[in-house]
Amino acid sequence: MKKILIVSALCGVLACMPFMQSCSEVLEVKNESGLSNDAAITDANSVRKVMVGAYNRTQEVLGRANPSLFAETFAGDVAYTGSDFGYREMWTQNMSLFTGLPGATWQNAYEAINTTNSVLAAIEKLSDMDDKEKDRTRGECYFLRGALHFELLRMWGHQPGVAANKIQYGVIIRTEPTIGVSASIKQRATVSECYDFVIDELKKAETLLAANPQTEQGRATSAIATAYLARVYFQKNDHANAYAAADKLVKSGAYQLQSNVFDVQRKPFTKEAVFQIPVTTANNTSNSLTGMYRKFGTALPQFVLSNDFTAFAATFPSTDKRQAFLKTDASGNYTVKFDTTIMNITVIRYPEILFIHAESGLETGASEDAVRSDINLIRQRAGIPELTSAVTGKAALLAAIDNERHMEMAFEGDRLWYMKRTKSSSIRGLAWDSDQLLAKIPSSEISGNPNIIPNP
Amino acid sequence: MILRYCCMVLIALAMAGSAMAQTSLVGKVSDASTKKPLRGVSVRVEKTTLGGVTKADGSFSVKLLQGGTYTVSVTYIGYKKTQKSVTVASDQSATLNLELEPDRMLLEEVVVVGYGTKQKREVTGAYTTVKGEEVVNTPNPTLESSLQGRVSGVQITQANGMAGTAASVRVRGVGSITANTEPLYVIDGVPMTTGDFSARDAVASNTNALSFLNPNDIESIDILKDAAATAIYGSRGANGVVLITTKRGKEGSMQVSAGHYSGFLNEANRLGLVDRDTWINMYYEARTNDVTDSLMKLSRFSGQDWNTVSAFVASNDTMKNLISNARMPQGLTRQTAANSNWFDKVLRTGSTSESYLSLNGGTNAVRYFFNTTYRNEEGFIVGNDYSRFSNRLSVDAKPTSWFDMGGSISLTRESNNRVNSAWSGGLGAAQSKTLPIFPIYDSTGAYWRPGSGLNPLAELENRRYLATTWRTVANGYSQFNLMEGLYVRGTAGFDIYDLTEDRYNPPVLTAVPFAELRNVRILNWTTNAFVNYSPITGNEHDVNLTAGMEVQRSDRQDVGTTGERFPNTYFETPQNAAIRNGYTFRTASGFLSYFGRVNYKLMNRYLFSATVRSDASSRFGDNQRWGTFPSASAAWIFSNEEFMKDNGVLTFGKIRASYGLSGNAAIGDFTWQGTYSAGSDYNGQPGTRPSQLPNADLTWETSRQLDLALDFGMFNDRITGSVNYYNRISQDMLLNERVPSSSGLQTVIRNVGEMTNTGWEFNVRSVNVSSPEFEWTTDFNITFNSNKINSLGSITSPDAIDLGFGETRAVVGYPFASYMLVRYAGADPKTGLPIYMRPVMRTVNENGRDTMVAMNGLRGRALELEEARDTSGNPLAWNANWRVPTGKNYPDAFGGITNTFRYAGFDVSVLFTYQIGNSIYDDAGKRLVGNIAQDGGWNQMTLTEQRWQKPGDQTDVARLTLKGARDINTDQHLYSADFLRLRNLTIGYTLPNAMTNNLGLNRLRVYMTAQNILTFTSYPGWDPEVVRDHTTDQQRNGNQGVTYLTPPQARSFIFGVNLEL
Repeated sequence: MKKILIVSALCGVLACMPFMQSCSEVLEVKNESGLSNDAAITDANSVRKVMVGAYNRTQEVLGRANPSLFAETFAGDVAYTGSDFGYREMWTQNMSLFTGLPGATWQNAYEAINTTNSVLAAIEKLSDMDDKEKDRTRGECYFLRGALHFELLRMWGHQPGVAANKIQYGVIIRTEPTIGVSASIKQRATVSECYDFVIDELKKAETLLAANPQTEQGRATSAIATAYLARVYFQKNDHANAYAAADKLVKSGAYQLQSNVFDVQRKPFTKEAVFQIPVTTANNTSNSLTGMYRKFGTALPQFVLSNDFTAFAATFPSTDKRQAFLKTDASGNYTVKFDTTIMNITVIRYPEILFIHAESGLETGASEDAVRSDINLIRQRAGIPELTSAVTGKAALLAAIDNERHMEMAFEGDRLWYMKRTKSSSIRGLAWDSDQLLAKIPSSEISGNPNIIPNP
Repeated sequence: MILRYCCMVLIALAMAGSAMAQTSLVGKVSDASTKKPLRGVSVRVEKTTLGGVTKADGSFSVKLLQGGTYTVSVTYIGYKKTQKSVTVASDQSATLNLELEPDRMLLEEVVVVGYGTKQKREVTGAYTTVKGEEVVNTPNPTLESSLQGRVSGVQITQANGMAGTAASVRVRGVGSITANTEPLYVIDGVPMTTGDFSARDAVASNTNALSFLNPNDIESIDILKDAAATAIYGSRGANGVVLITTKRGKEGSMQVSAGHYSGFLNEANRLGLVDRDTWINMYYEARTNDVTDSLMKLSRFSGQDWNTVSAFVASNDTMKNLISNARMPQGLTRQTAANSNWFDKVLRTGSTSESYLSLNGGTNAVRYFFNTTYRNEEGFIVGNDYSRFSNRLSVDAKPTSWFDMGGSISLTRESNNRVNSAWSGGLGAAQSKTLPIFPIYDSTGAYWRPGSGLNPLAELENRRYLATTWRTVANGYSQFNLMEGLYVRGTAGFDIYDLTEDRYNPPVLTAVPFAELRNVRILNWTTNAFVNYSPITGNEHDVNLTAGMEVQRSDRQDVGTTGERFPNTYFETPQNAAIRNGYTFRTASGFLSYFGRVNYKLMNRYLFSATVRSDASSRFGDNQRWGTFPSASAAWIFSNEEFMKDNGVLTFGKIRASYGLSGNAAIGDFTWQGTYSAGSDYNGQPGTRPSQLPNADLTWETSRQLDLALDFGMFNDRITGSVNYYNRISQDMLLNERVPSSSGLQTVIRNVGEMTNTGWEFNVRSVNVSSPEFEWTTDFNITFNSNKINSLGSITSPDAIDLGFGETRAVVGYPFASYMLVRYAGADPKTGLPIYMRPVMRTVNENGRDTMVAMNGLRGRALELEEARDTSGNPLAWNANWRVPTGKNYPDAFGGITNTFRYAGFDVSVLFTYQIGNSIYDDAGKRLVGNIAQDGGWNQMTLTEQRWQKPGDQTDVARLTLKGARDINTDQHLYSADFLRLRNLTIGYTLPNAMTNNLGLNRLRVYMTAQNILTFTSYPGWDPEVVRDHTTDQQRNGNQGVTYLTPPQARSFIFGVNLEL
């Protein structure tokens, strides 16, 4: 009898063993890879962190210079020599829904946009953030949303003014955070709707950030929003508004060209830089830009100069300081404009504003002197003779601006958009409104949104 | 060395003992019916610790301490336990001869079921048992691959023949798209950590944490297949369960066994590539073709045919120079091109060896088992090695009649020198981008490198990727036998997996030497307790009840550091690097479960069983944390009915049926949670962003399985076997569904859709000849499985689920992982361009045909295919919209046949395995056949020799071009994967007793085994037995037959010896 008691006691202990491990505890595991939605964006501090996350994704787009590299592959100033399949598809003007660079750009830009949408949705309910900071945060969100939609729009949508039989759709406008699967599917808006949206966003950002300035480097400011507005208006040939925006920046006196041409890309946060994405050793995403243009060892860079560009550059004096960007060795020509390992990625710099100021000014009745003086600021810095009054008349001045802009902004992702805007007759053999210049809706979109209207 | 020393000591001890005169008991044990002596019978003197084991002639000898009357009991598998009394006088030797009655039924064997055991004849579910002795002494790379062809319903494919790679195991077909589909492995009641934890950017083959399993430790492997068997494992049973029972000590004096084998191995087949001269000719032919083609587009040649233009090219000096002056890749010319055979450099004859020593014995109070095994393999690819040092100790004690306890611990060290097998290194590079025209060494004797590319030999000889695993598996149990028919048993087990990966790229390979040190540690503990009670026993009614609970927790932690820039070549680890980057990863999961089982046997012939398990898992959403998995089964042993008695043919017959549910929880942790991830930093500030969509309703996928079977034994069980039908429906499948990327997120895991696996399994074992001199047994099994996707919820696009490469897809109405490919119609005889087939749908209207292109519309429509040509008859370019389902990843039928012969001392066993009905998509073949300049130049398979060369040529291989044809998938590279393989041939010889006894041994067997020596297949690649290496479970499920430079299986020959003291 005693034995049975002992046994029963032992059995009891044994049977309880698993229970003593505390049953519910075993199911309590901490997710170290992600913070639950309901805890991630609750107070001022967490919203600030999500705002940083939105910039992080923006860096994946602009800081990787993806739109710039895309544009250069088509514009004809460089030739692609590498073996990357996606770049070859772009270089041969035969993109597919699998082409890597546009696919990644689409994905990262929309990740940034969704992150700003999450911030905008959360910010309303915050009690521990003052109104000033709220407005500033909203301004930053509107800026990122506007700028990124615009970068996508240029890659996926036709230049305004294409014939009616061409596809008129731009990109998907996203203004709500994605919370569930059902809300994730949306159709493309037209190009003109997209422009209206982008301009509205950037205007809101301009106003909000002017009243509530953001002082951290690399973050959006009212001036950056104005610069983007100038870029957007200019792209749609709205010269009056483009001039107004550019003029505002020129008159502000905040910007100044660097005397050393090598500083324009490689030096961080100079007075010439209007918008730069900061890159540090710990946070280095500049690899795509330097990776494409830089020479490693004896192998030529993946992007070499096209013969056309070499011939074009030869029309400038040999004393032009910008000639130092162009190198020639036994096997080919290439540029050293980006020849450094760590550098900020310049999204907008002052010469672009000056060119807009000059060209939109010319279109809207500014004096020829004023136009020439904008261009001459750049020519002075390059160390070449200024334009004189011999260059006169709208056609001649437009040609001079085009010429100067081509040289100054070479390899910076400017040329393709300029040629599309001016309805160039040949963009490496393609018409300005060729469907082959449009990125394809990537497979990552189509597979979740099979009814999306594709690009031809 | 240790082994040899131990043997010597043991032999010396044995000899010393025999020299003294003493009280002893001697005798012989033989079979009561055949009168043949029985070897290896355990003879035990009751109430003492004394005992012995019979030798080959059936004789035994036990030394006694003093005279007296003793009870001797004798046990032997397959015979009834026998006891006999004997009186021995002091300092005398008494003789006792015993005859054992055979325990007739083979089916009396015991099957290990979840949380208990059962007599095989009484099971109501689908179990297959493989004895440990069937899987030892083979040079198979994994234990799983040793089961290939031996278990019906289980498709086992070794990934490849490289040392240290994993196998793929599918029990009754593939049942999930996104979740892991490997079975649950349970060793002595403790679920094991399984999977691949290697660094995935290193592009070597997948590994499997189960590679630590040592066949020498294994008593039996029971594979649980139907719901009646697996439902007791609840949310983790849906892919089948593999229960491994390790060897335990047996009562009796110490038995020592030892063995060794060694041998050599090489690749089972070598891919046929064209030689240097042929490659060069092809290269210039491609260039000539391109020139001809571009001339034809000029107005000067307009309207002229290929023959005319190519004749012009051949006769025009400018054209000839244009072609012949052009250089080949890396600027090589016909004169400067080398003639290298890269396969001869990167492949070698490897070696394999294994030694073991095992001890076992004990009394009825304490039993012990110890095994130590060392295995070493030098793979057939230069630089690829694997070694494993395993030790296992188990102790079982019975302090009192009402209490048992025991436990075991195994310590294993695995060391694996891994090599890159993808296109970027080693064998992958040697067959793809490394051309025969490339020199191996430059003029200084250093490795030659193609520009910024790599030299595969340099990689293999210099890149370090050493993966070392320390694995500790320990478990203990205690069992209280409260009264007759009632016991409580508790088990606690630990599984500690510790992997260190040490990688280094030295300066000879890269301008920037790189090192990485990475550690993965997974701690997994399990505790369970259950009560087993038999309230009613007897022939009329017999009831057995089991109820218990289980708790399991798994914690994983990865820590790693990479380093770049070293002061000199001495320093090779990240700690000495100028730039160091660290990373960590941590995750965990937990399961809490309750389970129960009722068995009821009526009149010894009607059997009923029901099980249920309730599981909660941290892997699932708050709304769906608990799931319940019931099963019910019944069987009728109709051979026990009166009307079946004395029928003379059927000695055993049983019909069984089962139905039940089991689950699959094998997805990542926390996938249900909507989250923001960290690491989204900007300008030095930490940031977060939305990273995962929430799904609070996420739960396990459920497998509903119906199983109907007939088990039989005929002619006194000379022929035994079973026939099984199963219908396994996977519902609420875990599916990684894509959401549009413009949402800012990529995928969400949902429970969507349904898939069915239906099949038949046949096993037969026939003892064809059984005489004392000659015995011949045949084991045959075949499984037919057909898989179909019944629904995918709202998903209509075949591209919504990413299965990886080669365009395998999940399409409703077709088998999962069907290939979706554009059909290929060969080269256009006129132009040599590839012709693709496009689906068309005939309409009744006057316009005749309406070309139908949408893939989504394929289902339910009668489709025809036509050659895609433009109005002037020229082939059209490939178009993704023309893809149609064609062929599949998983076979219609597979199985094996084993013939075993015994004659005199010889034993021969021959195992063939086969597979029918699936296809391989040779993803590398699309470059290795015809795309000579893809990515700057690839090797060409000998198939390319059949290429189109002039108008009128009828061939499948299109005109060569250097213009890097589009990287497209067509069924040109889809091949039948049918094969019949002589998997294993073993010839052994057991020395006659007289000889072995002279050597002081009980038994000595020598043998040789050959693996994979013959393969019958029409597949032109390396090997039709393929598992493509993948990073995700989804890709592994959907894509394993899409080979990409995957190395072949190993062909090995070993010679070995087993001995028993």
